[in-house]
Amino acid sequence: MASTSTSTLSRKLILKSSDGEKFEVDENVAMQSQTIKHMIEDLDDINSPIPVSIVTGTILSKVIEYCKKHATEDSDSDEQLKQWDKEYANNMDLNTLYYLLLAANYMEIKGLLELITQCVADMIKGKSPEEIRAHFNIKNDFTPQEEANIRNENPWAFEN
Amino acid sequence: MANSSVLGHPLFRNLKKLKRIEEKDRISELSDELLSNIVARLTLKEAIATSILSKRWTNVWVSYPFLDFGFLQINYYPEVLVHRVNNVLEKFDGGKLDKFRIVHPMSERFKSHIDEWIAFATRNRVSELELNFGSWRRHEGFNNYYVPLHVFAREDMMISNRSSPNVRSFVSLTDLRLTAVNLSDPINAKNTAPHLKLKSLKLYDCFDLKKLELLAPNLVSFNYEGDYKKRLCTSIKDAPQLASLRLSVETGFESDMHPIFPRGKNFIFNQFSSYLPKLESMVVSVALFEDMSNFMELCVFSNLKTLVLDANSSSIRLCCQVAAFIISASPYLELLELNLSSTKASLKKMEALELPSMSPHKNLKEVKLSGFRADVYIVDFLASLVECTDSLLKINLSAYATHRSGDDLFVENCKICVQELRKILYTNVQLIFHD
Repeated sequence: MASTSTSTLSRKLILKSSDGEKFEVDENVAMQSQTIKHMIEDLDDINSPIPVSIVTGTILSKVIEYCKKHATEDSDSDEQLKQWDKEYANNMDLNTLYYLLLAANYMEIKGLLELITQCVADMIKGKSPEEIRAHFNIKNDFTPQEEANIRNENPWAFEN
Repeated sequence: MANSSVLGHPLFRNLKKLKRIEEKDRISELSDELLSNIVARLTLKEAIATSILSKRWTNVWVSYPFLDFGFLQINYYPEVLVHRVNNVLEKFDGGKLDKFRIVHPMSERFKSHIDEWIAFATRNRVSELELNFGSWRRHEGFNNYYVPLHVFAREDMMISNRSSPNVRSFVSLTDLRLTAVNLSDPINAKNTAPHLKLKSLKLYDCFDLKKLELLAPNLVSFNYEGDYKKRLCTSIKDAPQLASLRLSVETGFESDMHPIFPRGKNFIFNQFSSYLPKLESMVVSVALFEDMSNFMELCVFSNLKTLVLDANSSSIRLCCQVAAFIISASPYLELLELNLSSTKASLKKMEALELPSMSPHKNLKEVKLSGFRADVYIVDFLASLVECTDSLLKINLSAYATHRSGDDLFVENCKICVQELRKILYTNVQLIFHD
């Protein structure tokens, strides 16, 4: 952590969020994002802030929290890491999950993308259509006739 | 007025804002790609059920990549299954299909539909295909479905052959499991080899399979389980990656009644005439070696670590011989397992036990023997094994489970055998006996 800036192994990068917040992170932390990895390759001046254009500071700090945890692989067992992931995802409200999902997708962080999509899928599992709608505030915009038609296409999928 | 001052309080304003955000339907704003990614983590049933949520969701599931119909209950008429599957396939609009699986009794009567399903799976570049049409009481007139094996043919050949435009080759297939499906032609071979990515092939109860010839450069695992009444000629001609091989056959009652049933000795000869440099684990039925006259033609298993022999109704004598010959051809074997449960004990020697002359084996560490009973051949076999193995550490015997509990004579005989064995064992070899 307290390494010198001359060491190439732990170079620092500055990430800049869409609302102008700056974050200094170790290169190996940031490199978990394929998008940033590609950006650095094209960058001449590594010291200038790297813009992460669609991600706000609040969300970016959460993304970095995830990347930091997953950058230091050897400190935790797989089991501990899974537990950490679970708690990390469970502490997010729907709104944050939504923006995290967009961020993970944009920044191409495979592990985070998987974690959040699985978390959302788990919210759908075991719920009736009505319960899913209520959970995610999805508005049913079908007429009763349209809804019946869809049920009739694959009626077995709606049986309990 | 007092109210408005409370509403104007910053904390309250924030709460209101928060509530408004929470009420928004964010998930439906996600891109098709992200929604598909979420839906792909549900079961097929759950995925289809999302179509009812709202108009945004109607077609999200149609790219669902795991078409696994295995959960549909079997007590329906096959027509119901056909209807359900066809309805789903009609809607499907995905790119790459990872899995296509049907588990339901199906007969040749539904050939046109099943052909279409296979064509559909190949068109969508399926990786894992499982057709399990068994597990029903087979009534009169029930004919197994014949898989049209020309689907395995090479793509460029199919293009020139316009007669079946719907069927292209399995260029992306890595895992194929067939149960109670007939295969009429050889899974051929030279023409398909460069294209076949097949890593795992599992065939269960594929009755009437007559010839199977595999030239699969990427095959890692091959399982064949089924009955063995008819002549079956199988060969794995070139499988440099094959690590796991399982050939389990049930000879069953019928072959007991007809002892001269052709056992198809070609099976094993061709099987092992080729060089299988990566084969690590082999599970085979001893019945496959009946009729085999010359064990010397076995190839060398240069990487074999585990050998499991299932004796079924074969004789213990044959079992011992097969084990000894494969051991002598496998210098790196570490574990030998013999399952003798359904054999009959040979109380006295009818024929001599012919064992190969073995140079000292340096890697065999453990022998496990289940269904052990006092048998003259087994004692001889174990004795010779101990003699020519330097590395043996453990012999694990578990006695044949008799139906009558407390068969004292049986247990007593076994114990005498075990005592005899102990006499010839080196002190560093552990002998465990479970009665």
